[in-house]
This record gives sequence, C-alpha cells and structure tokens, in this order.
Amino acid sequence: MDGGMRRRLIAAAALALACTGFAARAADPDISGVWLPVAQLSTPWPKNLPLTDAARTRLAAFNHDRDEPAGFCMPLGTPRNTISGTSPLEVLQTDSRVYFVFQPNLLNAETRRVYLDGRPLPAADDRIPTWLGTSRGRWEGKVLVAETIDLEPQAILNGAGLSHGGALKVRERWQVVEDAKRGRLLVDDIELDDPESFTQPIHLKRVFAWAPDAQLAEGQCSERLWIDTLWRYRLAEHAAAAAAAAAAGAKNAAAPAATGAPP
Amino acid sequence: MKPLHLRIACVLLALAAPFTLSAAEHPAVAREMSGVWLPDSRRSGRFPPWPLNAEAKRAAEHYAQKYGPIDPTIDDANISCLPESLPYSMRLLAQYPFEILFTPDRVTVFFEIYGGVRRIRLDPDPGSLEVLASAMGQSFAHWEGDTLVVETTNIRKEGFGIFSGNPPASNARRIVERISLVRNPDGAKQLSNEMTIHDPVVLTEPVKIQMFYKWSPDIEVGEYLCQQDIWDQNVQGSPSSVPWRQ
Repeated sequence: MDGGMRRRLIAAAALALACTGFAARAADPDISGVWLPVAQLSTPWPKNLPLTDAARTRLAAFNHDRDEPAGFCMPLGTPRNTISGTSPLEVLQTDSRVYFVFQPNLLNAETRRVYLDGRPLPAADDRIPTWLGTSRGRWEGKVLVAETIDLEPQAILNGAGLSHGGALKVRERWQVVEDAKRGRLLVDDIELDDPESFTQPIHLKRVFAWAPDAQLAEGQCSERLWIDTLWRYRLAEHAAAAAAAAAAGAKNAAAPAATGAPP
Repeated sequence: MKPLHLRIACVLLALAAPFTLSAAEHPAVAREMSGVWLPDSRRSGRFPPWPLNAEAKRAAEHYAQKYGPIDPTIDDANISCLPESLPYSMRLLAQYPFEILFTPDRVTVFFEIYGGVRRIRLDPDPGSLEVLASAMGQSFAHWEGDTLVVETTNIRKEGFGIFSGNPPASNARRIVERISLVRNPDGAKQLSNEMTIHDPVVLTEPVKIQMFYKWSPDIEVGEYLCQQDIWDQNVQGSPSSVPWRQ
C-alpha cells in the first residue's frame, strides 16, 4: 500500500467516524409498520385502581349514554386510543418524528404526533388541552421514550368511564422485541401520572404484533350521524304518513321506532 | 458543531448511501415537499362548468325535479361531519393546512379538516388488495423527473347534490395529480397540483384544474373536531351553534 492510498483510507475512516453523529439517524430502531393489538399479552386495568376521592366520585357518576364521547363521534383521545380496542395501529417514522395513526372501529382516524427533533413545548400561554395531547420523544437505545401532556379532561380512559384531570402525564416506552413464538412485537410500557385522579401512577403494558400484510382502511364515524340526519326526516315522514293513516282508520300503520340514541 | 466542509462531506456521504436513495427514491425533492402546506385560494384555479354528457344531465334534472330544491340544512353531508372526497378534499378551504409525510414507499397526507388521512403508495406493485371505495380512494404514485404523479381510483361516489352542488360521479372516476415544487411570483416556495379528473361515464371530456399550496413551516396541523358542536350540546346542555340543530 503506498502512502497516498493509506492517507486516503485514513481520511475515509476519519470521515466515517466524524459522520457517526449523522449516520446514527439511519441506525435508529425501526418501529414503523402496521401492528395489531394482542390482548392476551397486554396488561388489563388493575382490579383495585388507586383512585382519589374526586376520581371515585366521577367514576360513580359516569353515565354511558350521556358521557361516552365515542357515542358522539368524538375521539378516543390519548392514551385510550393506544390502550384499548382491537383495531390496527400504523406507525410512520422519520428521523425527526414518529406518528401513531389509529383507526378505531367505527370512529374517525386519530393521529398522535411524537416529535423527536428537540423542539420545545409550546409556551405556557399557548398551551391548550387537546384530545390527542402534545408529545415529545427521544431514543434511548432501542427504546422510544415519549411524554404526552395537555390532554383534554373530557376524554375518558376506558369504556367504564375512568376519567383523568388536565394535569395527566402519559409516559411511554415503545420498543420492538423478538418473541420466539409470535415474532416481532411492539411493546408500549405506559405510565399514567395524574395526582388529581390517582394516588399513585398506574402502569399498563400494551403489546402489538407485526402485521406486514395489513393496511388501515378509511373509517367515517360521521356516516352514523349522516344516516341519523337522513333518518330523522324520513322517520318524520313515516310518522306523518302513519298519523294520516291512523286518522283514516287504517290498520298496520305503525311507523318504525326512532332510535335517536347514539350507538 | 462540526465545521461546515465536514458537514457537507457527511451529507454527501449520507446521500450517496444506497439505503437513503432507495428509501424515498427521490430524497431531495421528497424532503422539500415534506411538511405543512396551506391552500393558496387566490392563486388556485376554479372548477370549470362540468361537461356532463346527455345521460348525466338527464339524471341530474330528474333528481332535481323529484327531490329538489336542495335544502342545505338536510341535504349537505358536510353538516353531518362527513368529509368531502377527492377531488374536493385537495381543493381545500384556505385556513385548513395539510401535512405531507414521506416514509419508505409511502406518502401520507394529513388533513386538518375532518382529520382526514390520505395514503399514497410509492410501491410499484399494486398487489391484489380489495378495498371498499372511500373518500380518499386508492392512490399510487411514481416520480417523473421531479414531479410526483399520483393516480387515484376507487373513490367513494356521492349522490346528487349531497355536497352542495357537486356534480354526479361514477365508479369509473380516475384522478391524476402532477405535484411539483414551484415558486410563487414573490419567490416563495409553493406546491403545484395539476389535477385531471377522468370520468367517461358522466363527463364528455376530462376536467383540469391547477391548485397551489403555500409552504407553511411555522404551523402544525391541528386537531379538528367536527362533532364538537353535538358533543357540547350534550355535555353543557347548550344550544347548538347550528341553527337547525337547536
């Protein structure tokens, strides 16, 4: 090897070393793809929830027909979109962000945006609660560490009506693990920290199985509202016709029953 | 911070790495197209009168006679929070941004309005997936030079007049979009979308429209809750802001 060749090799090696900060992005763990929740591997809600008195009172007062946002096509919200249901999750990943796209059954799509680019949280006077929350994240080795705040307290945490306050912090650790039996799994270790509702943080685990052949379809919760809207007018027409028929003494003129309650 | 020449060398090295090139196929343009855009309503074109063929005209007239006049308080599905389908979803109202995200073999468009998600596959193999018709349809794209060419079929068909005056469409509707980076007269970065709508069942000729979107790096796509009004009525017992819902 002549001197020139050696110098070029050393220069190339030095450049490769100097670039590792840049190249590290390409080496970020890959959690992208479509994943299906595996209920058997996930942790259910603990039987004895460490609830504060305020949270206990709210839970006792929960009325499904009145207080279930999903019944009105509102979002599940974070973290309920992540820890409930059987619908697939799609993870889209670049070096600066990870998006979790949920398509809950019979609801609208929900996109959780987790920024990894170190951008600051919004200023205090610019922070408003949202159903999906404000998230920041970073890679710690193979784990995506994410924290979500500013969550809308009108959202609930599960179908039983467990609620949270506006100060809820959702801390998550997302990682892909290889399971001998089930192959690639996406595991989310979740901590729900809300002193107003919980006397101590609640820990849950949500496990998803890799489903490379699955794809998310479009869902429109609002089609129910739309059909309801049309039906209200059609039912009014039926009722008017039935009343007219009843007035004329006709038999079998009953109108179909109106179902105004949300599903 | 590394010296500039070293950073440039690193960027060149990274760009030359085959995994980067194969990931986005056109990394430089994809990077420039990634991000948040706002419709430029002033510069964008308008739909021309729809060249309906004789049969479609007859059907529209028949519908208007039988069910008309269109009552927006009943007949407009937007009021019930149903999102508009293509092509109307890309001809957005000025205040609603959308975000383009490139990932390997995929372009995803996140609309703020109705929280819509549009998935465009860069994967050349369409596979044999059977999907139901949807508002966003089924889209495949490829690069022609620096232009992203998107072809969409399987778009949900709408009834006459349901979306305030939109013309009838058939199952054969096929939309081709040629999306490229341009500059507006002030030199600001914009996205141009030259759209051609083919629908030989109802149109005598394809309809063309060009739309522009403004580069908007300082905003994020927000949360859009169309159903908030109905929920608020429920939670607060307050009258609706929509008069006919009260």
